[in-house]
This record gives sequence, C-alpha cells and structure tokens, in this order.
Amino acid sequence: MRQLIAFVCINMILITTPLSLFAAETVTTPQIKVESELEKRIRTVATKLRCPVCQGESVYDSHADVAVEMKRLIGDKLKAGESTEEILTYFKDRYGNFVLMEPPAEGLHWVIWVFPIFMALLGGLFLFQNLKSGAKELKDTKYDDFDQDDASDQDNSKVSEIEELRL
Amino acid sequence: MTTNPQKTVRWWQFALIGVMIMMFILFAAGLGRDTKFIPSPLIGKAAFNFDLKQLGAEKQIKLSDYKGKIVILNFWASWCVTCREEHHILLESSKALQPNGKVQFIGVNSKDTDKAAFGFMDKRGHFPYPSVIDRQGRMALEYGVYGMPETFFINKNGVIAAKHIGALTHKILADKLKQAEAVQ
Repeated sequence: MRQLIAFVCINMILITTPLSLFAAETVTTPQIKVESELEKRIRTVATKLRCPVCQGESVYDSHADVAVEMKRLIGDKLKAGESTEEILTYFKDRYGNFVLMEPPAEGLHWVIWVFPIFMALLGGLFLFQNLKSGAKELKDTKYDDFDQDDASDQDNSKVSEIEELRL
Repeated sequence: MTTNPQKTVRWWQFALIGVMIMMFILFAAGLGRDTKFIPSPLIGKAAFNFDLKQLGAEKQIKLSDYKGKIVILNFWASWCVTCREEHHILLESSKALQPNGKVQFIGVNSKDTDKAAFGFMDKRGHFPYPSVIDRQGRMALEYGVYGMPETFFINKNGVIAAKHIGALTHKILADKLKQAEAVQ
C-alpha cells in the first residue's frame, strides 16, 4: 500500500512540475506592447480632449464608442499630416471649448484661471494682516503690568470654594 | 507710521464676504440652468455638406441637394432607446410637414447595421423620408453629436439654425422649426 501511495505521489510530482514551470513561464513572461510613434502622438492629442459623454475623462482614457471613434479619427488626421493644434481646433469647432481638457484662458474662462490666484492672494493678505496685528499686540503687552494680586485673589477664592465643598 | 489694524482686518473681511456672496450667486444661477442644454458652436455656421449612401438604396444623398428647403437632420440608431420615444413624433411630423415642399426630413443612421436598422423600422414604422448610413459615426463627429438621438435644423441657406439633444416632442419640433425659418 505504501509503495502504491509513493508511486502515485512521485507520478503526480513528475506530471505537475513541468506544468507548473510552464505556467510560471507563461505568467512571468512580460507581454509588453511597444507603443508605435503614431500611437504616442494619438495619446498626446487624445489626452488633451474630453470625452463628450463621460464625466471628467479624457478621450484617451475613455472606452465609450464616441471616444474610440475620436481616437481613430485622430489617428487618420495625424496620418494625413495634420498637426496637434489643427486636430484640437477641429474638435473645438464642433463641440466647443467643453471638449478641451484645459479650457483656454479667454472670454469668461479667464475667471477659472484668475479666481484661485486672486483668492490665494486675498487669503494670504488676510492671514498676514491678522498675524501682524496679533504679533504687534503681543509685543506691546507689558508683562510687568500683569496684576499679580488679582491672580492670587482668584487662586484664593478657588481654594476656599474647594474647602467649602469638603466640609 | 501708525496703522489701525482693526480697520485693515475689517476691510479684508468685507472683501472675503463679498467674494463668498458672489460665489453663492453664481452657484444659485447655475442651479437654475437647464442641464440638458449644451451650447453648440455650430449654430449659425454652414452645415457640413455630407455625401453618403442611402439606407436600403443604391443612391448617394447630399445635403446640397436640398438647398432651398429647411432640412431636419435626425441622428438615430436601432440600439438607441430614446430614439423609440421620438419615433412616432418623427413619423407624424414628417407626414404633416413634408408635403408642402418647404421642409425635408433626413435620417442619419449612425453606428448601426442595415439589418438592425430595418428591424427597428419594421417594428415601429418606416420613415417617409430617406436615411443615410454613417457606419463608423464619423458624420456624427462632424456634427459634434454627443449621443443619439440628436436633431439639427438647417435653414434654406444650409446654415444650422438650431439643434436638439434627446427625444423630440411636437412642441420642441415646432419651436426649432420657427427658429430655422427665422435665421437667414
């Protein structure tokens, strides 16, 4: 019986070891897809465009039908010799500034760019003024003027309160 | 030089409160907006003159063939659920408006197959006007289409006067048609 079990075990090891090595080989072999020059250029353009039907996703990242077709069209336009700017203008002319991941600083859009800087400056000045006036107040305070008698009176009253409670 | 810090602080506080009130007004105004309305840069511009094969016929259709008429260009697909909602509107309106010769409906069957498109029409009724095939969806990109259905109202001079995203109603169609009649 022992011999039978040993025979089965040895056979299993002999069968499974090459299989596992093959599996390991399959898993560990890196399947790196080399990005062609055209794909790189498509990526550059597609990351600058917003997917029209997605929420805050670029055309490059999206798998929506319209985004896939946009990527194909970008590829065709690049092959035809169009520049990145020309392609971005093509989509902007049809979908408006919305289609650009970074809205241009023109028209009302400048508010988006200027407002955070304005708020940061305003907040900074507000903080600076507060700290400055606080520091000035602290500097002007004379510690010698601190009324020691008042403080000791307060301490004494506390002690008497505690003693009353004990009684 | 002596400054009054209290006065300076108050000034900045007022400025901050002012900005916060401005932001609140902006957000309140944004809440009142129609979220379905997306302004199209194509309004007022010449419509793309397509030359595409007609669905179910060995014939090419060009937009320029209909110059002098108001063209109602409707993007649809068999897989589009909202297209089912507006189907009867398109059938009724086209039957009522086309005979006067001033209005021409054209369908754009986008990212679809002929078989599925005819299956859709067999079930819901065939359009009494031609549809062109936009197999890849390039024509939809040319018109800046977001999704199906979308309808463009092109005036007699080939200029896009209005567009509607989503299912049409009789009222929307009548209003947009008026715009197309008004815009030169």
